Amino acid sequence: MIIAKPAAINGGLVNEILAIIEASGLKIIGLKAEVLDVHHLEKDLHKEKDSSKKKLLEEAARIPSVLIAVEGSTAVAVGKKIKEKYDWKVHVSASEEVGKYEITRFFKENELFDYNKVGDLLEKMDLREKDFKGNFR
Amino acid sequence: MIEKTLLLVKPDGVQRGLTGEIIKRFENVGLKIVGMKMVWIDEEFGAKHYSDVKARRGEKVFNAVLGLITMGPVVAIVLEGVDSVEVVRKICGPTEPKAALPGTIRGDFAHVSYAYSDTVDEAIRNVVHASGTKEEARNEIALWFKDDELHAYPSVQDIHILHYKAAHIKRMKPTK
Repeated sequence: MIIAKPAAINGGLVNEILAIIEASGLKIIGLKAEVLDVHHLEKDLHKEKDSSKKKLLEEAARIPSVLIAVEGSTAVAVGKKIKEKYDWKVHVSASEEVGKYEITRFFKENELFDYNKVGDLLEKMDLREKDFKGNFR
Repeated sequence: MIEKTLLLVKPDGVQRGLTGEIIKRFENVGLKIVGMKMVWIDEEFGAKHYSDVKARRGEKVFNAVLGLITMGPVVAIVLEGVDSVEVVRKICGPTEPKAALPGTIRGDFAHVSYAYSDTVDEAIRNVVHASGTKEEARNEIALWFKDDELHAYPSVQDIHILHYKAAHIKRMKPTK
């Protein structure tokens, strides 16, 4: 599981993170933009006495994150590379186990999808099939 | 002036791993992603999305587009910005990839013609869908997204591209 945090959305980096995942041959099985509870921000909010600053913090807490559920044997390794590159702007699962837990924690069952990417289809397709017309369905 | 529009990365785009490349076009120009999710719709939902196609283009085309949009998950995105309906259509290019210029999404990631897709009895695989008019955008966003899936938030684009002042951002309210 990979989360593009608000800083990634604000930096216009969502496309880069998705492209790295897709180019690595991994499959995105779930994706959604959601405002996450930001505990440290909330703490700051309570402490802040200056009302205009408080207002700005409240606004910042409304920025969504992009949650990405990723499937594939190299998911954790690619996640680590993404973490190296984008650092605090992303969260990535540290291990396969953690990844599985986080995906079930953040995604409902009907938000996760099992589908074929083009590569999967080529493997499954019988190319000797006589009526093969280049239709990849 | 500032409006929202719906963009779908269709199943062919998702399966080919083009989601990131497509979103890049919109993030680059400074449009704001105010909603995004992956969904796999059924035929009933697809019929609502393409409710006008049957009357406009006939049963055969309707069934073809329905088959394509339900063949796998799509990534639905709501983009906000100045005249976003028109701008997003411009970035996508015309419906037929053969006619789409390089630099547009359809011109860069597809090339087939209507004539070809007729020979394989399928709707044209043109990677994306974008709302055609402001009214269509309103209807489609209401169909695809619940209110709490749309986010009104301040972003750097507000300041650098829209030249918003801080007071502006403070007044921002969720709008549909």
